[in-house]
Amino acid sequence: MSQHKVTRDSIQQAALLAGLDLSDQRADELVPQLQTVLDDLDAMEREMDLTEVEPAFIFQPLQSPVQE
Amino acid sequence: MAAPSAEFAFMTVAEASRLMERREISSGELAGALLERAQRLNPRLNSYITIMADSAVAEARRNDGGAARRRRRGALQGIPVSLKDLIWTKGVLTTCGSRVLADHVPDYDATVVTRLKKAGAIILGKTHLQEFAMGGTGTDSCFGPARNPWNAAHLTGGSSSGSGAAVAAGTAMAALGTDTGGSVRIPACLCGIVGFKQTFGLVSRMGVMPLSWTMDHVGPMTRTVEDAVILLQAMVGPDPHDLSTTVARRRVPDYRAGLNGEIKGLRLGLIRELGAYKNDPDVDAAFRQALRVLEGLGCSVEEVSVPTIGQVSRFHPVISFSEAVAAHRPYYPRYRELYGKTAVTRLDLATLVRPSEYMLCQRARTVFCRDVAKAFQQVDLLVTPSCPVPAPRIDTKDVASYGELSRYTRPFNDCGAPAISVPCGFSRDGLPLGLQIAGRPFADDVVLRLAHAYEQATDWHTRRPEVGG
Repeated sequence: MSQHKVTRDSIQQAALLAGLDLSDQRADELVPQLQTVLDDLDAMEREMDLTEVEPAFIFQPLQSPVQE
Repeated sequence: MAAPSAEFAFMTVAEASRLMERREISSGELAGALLERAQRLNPRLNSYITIMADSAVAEARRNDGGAARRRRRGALQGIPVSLKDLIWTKGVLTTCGSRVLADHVPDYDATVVTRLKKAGAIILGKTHLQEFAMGGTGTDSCFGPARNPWNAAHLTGGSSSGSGAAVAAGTAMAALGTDTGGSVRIPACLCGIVGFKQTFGLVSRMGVMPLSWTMDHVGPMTRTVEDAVILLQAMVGPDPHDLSTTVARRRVPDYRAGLNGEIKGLRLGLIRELGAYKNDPDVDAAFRQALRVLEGLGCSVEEVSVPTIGQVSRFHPVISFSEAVAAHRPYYPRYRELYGKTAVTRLDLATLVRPSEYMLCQRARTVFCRDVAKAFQQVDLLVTPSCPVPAPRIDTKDVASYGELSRYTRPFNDCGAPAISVPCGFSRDGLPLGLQIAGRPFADDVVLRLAHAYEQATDWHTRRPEVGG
């Protein structure tokens, strides 16, 4: 179970910050779906050792354009 | 003597090219036959959004004219190719399968289009897709669902739905799709053709509507592995407008010349953890038979472990749809009401996921990539079914089965490895099944070589759906 309890209100607050104006009905539809995503991520974090693991992309400073 | 149109329709690129070389057929005859068939079958299959009859005929005529015909530029010269309708084409409607871009006409060609044209290809039309490539079914589009040529009541798979159906139905000789979680390989599998996703970064995505910058690939969809290689060879290479192609600065092998190389002794891996998942029994039977064929060709098969492969279904959607929200900023949420239900739900959800959660998923992806790399220390290639089920019916209510279509394909987007789907049999209901072969990054030649050998040892790729005569 996620440490985050997703509710209609929390969805509507987050959506407003993102520039989305969701109806109550739409927010209610998204509650179980978002809860599943967050529960899955919590489970993933518990099951995987991500200590000192970097993300799967690398910043390349001042990369020169690729030549054709 | 000109071949009848059905014969043109199911010719391979390699065959057509040889006949053109010998001047036994012309580009005009070929394009004309495919256009006639595409126009006739499109009301039934919904494979095309735009059929470019006038420009294709004009281009074919130019190709058949004096100088162009005397000096062939290679195997693609005069060959009609169709493009998924999220690949930018100068002056041609490019909708991404969405009402959001219903009138969108780009003012430049995508790099892959420029390269195909430079190789002499003729663009035949723009194919159906799942809206903005957001899903694997090919049913969610403002143009309605694409229909499977093997049984029109069944879906094609997606998101390169029209490309898969058109090649299978003989209304395209070859096509391009895009693949972020299997969108080339899934419709290839479900429509009974070849779909290849090369190593990440080998082919430019400039001018292709992004879904996920860290996982998007453009790939060929064809009737044979050799045809896929012909398209790949024309597209591969660095592009200053797509920095992911920095990796393509390394020497590109002659993939076609390597197709008949040695495969004896290749070590093939079955991912142990995938054994926990249930497949359709027909898929399992076809896969077991395919393994016997591969063993008969001199390959060995053993189990390998990729302990984190089960996490892919958790981190992959968060990565791809978070990146999609960023890519859609010009349109979403501004034109949110124009999106279809599937696309808008994915964008809404990804909007509510926080950046820290996106980064958590990218870190999990690193661990997964390390696990795959370890497996590739033990074996040369990994083999799986391409999809766990044959094409579901379009009207099925069991949407859960849709989500599973990409179970075997998306892990190879996450690790950037080359992977191909080749036909490997049929279900009892006569629907095609696919074998997926994946290799180490940059071992595209090995993947293609084994797929070609498997294809030569079987006849699944020669079967044709009974559609259109």
